[in-house]
Amino acid sequence: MSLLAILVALALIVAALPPLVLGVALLLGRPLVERNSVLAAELQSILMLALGLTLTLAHAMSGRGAAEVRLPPPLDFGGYQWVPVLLVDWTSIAYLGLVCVVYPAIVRFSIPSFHREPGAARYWFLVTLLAFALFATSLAGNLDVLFVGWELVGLCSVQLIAFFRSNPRGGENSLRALVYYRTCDAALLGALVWLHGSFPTAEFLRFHEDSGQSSALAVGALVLFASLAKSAQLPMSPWLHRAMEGPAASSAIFYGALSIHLGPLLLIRTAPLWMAFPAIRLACAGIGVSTAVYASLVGRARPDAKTSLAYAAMTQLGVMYVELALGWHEFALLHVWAHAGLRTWQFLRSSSLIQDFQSNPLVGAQVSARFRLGVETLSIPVRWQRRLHLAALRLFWLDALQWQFVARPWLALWRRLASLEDRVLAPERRRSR
Amino acid sequence: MSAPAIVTRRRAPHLGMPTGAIVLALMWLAPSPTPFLCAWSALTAWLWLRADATALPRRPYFAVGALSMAPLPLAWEGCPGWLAATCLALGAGAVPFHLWLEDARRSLRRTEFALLLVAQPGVALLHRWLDAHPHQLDASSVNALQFLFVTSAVAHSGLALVREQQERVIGSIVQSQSALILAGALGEEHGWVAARTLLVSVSIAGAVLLTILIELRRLHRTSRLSHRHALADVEPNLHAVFVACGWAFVGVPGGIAFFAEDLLFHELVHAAPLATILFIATTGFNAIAFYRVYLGTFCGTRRSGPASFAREAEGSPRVPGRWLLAGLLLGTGALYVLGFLPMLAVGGH
Repeated sequence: MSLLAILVALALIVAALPPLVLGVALLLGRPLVERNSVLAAELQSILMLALGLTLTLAHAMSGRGAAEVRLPPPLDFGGYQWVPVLLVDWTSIAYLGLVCVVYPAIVRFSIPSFHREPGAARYWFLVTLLAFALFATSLAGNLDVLFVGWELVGLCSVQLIAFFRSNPRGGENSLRALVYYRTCDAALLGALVWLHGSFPTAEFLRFHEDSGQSSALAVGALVLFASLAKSAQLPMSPWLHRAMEGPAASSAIFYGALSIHLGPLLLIRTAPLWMAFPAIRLACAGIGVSTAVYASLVGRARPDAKTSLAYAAMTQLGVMYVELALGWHEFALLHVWAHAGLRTWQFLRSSSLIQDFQSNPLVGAQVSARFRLGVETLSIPVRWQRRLHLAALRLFWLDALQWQFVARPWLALWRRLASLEDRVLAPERRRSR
Repeated sequence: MSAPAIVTRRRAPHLGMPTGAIVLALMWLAPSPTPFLCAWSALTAWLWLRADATALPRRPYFAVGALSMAPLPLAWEGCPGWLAATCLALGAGAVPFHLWLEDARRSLRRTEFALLLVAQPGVALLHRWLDAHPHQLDASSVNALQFLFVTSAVAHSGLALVREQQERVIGSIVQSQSALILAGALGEEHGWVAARTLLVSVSIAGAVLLTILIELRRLHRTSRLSHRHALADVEPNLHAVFVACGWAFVGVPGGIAFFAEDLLFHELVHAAPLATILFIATTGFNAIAFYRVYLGTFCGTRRSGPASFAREAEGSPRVPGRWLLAGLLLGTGALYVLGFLPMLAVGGH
């Protein structure tokens, strides 16, 4: 077993242990006291940072472009194997580095925020689970491992949006987020099943060999669609501003820094599959441009700090999609780093924005709230400017259109079937037992 | 408009849960078609007698009729293919033949119906039939039946999205997962092994989730989804088990359902690509439906009023029993242990 393999296995164990301990304690109805929960998260963040640095050094010293680590398959039956493959290359190191840098900052910020807060144990469990999921996603060497991390990130995100359980709106918004996540996750699962069924392998390093397959176009399209929800790109974006119901620290790590950039990571990882198809690249660029324009306009019309930041993040993600479509993958990774750093800081400071306006030298005293779209400088008639403003305030009716033409007919179909049952069997009476 | 009548049931101690459990266990353990048919007949009789004993103003004609028809292909070897397929669809509760299950739900006690649901008689019938007559159906009939099962899974998921009673939503998800098990069991090569793995998950998780909901109904009078229940802080233990078990149930990584579904996808993708797409869609809907139940039971603002006093007046225990909690924890733990060691559920190399 090579040094790199030992390091990767050790890193995974270190990342997995805290959520395991915290989760079992919660399940048994004996959550750890706050001090111990914090200690578990702090230890996890410090050890992840140390192991991330060691992994980077070890990889740099090995002089290899990419190194695969294969773990024993947990499922091996009838010729089918579920093999966890981890990959250490500069892309995984770059994303892992981001995780290892941002996560300790979030942990540090969360300690005072969740001091004596009801549900703190639940928060620490979800955040440590998220760290593990991001760790697995960053180091994934095949689509199977990436899917595991991807799903767990979505699960943590949904549960944290509904963190303040007494607020019914938080619950409704988390359900909306779950609907978008599951729709796109279904596409990723479809791509995964297709890859297993038709391609020789689902490993990222072998995708170069698979790009000639006839079904690579379809798999590439599925992967592109799968990336849209996590990165809040059109038309799967209306959940993002609703996700701001969660705590500021979780908003920072999810929608400012790490979770929202998983879309570009997935596209970079699967690039050999879809880069050969101009149609997918065009679609990717089109989605990016339209999202950037849409989010830029909507973000300027939002009345509160967190949703404005969410739309600003969406705009930058749109630009990243264009960069990816152009084939500038290293540049997109650099953009991810820069953007994640800025947004983490902005989200974490969003709770004290008023104070910042007054006294923070980094922000300055000249900042004033702007309610204009920024299209005043263009030669657009005032009438159209007002219409544009109104449309931006109403999110260009995207929510309403999706509800009217997708969700409502779908639910109506099942309501009709349910009422048909009642008609055949006669309406149900209330029962005492 | 007058309030709906409340029907109080008589107790029938001799034919309750233990009898149903024994009959269903015998059905699964039957070594050949004859004892299986005997157990199946006993199940039909049990259903009829339980409905009779509970003194409801309606009889489960649909349920008893369907249960009587379903084992026909097992009893009659020369049964035509189309009739065999119809009987199996009927026994398995595939849409539009699922009404008998709804009929049984309305006739049985909640605990008895939960038992019927998680014991999966439809899967037992299909398994026994595949064992006894492996070549009775031609390839096209198998494909049609497989497609029907997957479509049923989508329909049950869709129904779970619009139902308002917690137990019915979880029941619909269980039925949806059962339909996927049946589709997988018809698959080539290792279909039954993959289906059996999912069956383990569905039965354990279905039992845990339905037990929690029945217990919450007893303790807090929760019958429909509402943000006024907000039971997470009132019943923290049941809440933790419900959320942990529920996510494992709908196939999130960590639980055995994740690997079981993966195996089933692998089995189906070559033989039935369209069914695989529907299968994937179903898993997505099931997760949404489960989360809806979670929100409508445990999250929101706590109500106050006569409902919380009702159970005190009734004199029933106010907290879930220790043994019940231990059983629920054991079931949930088993889902995760099998999720980490899936070969224990799949069996052998």
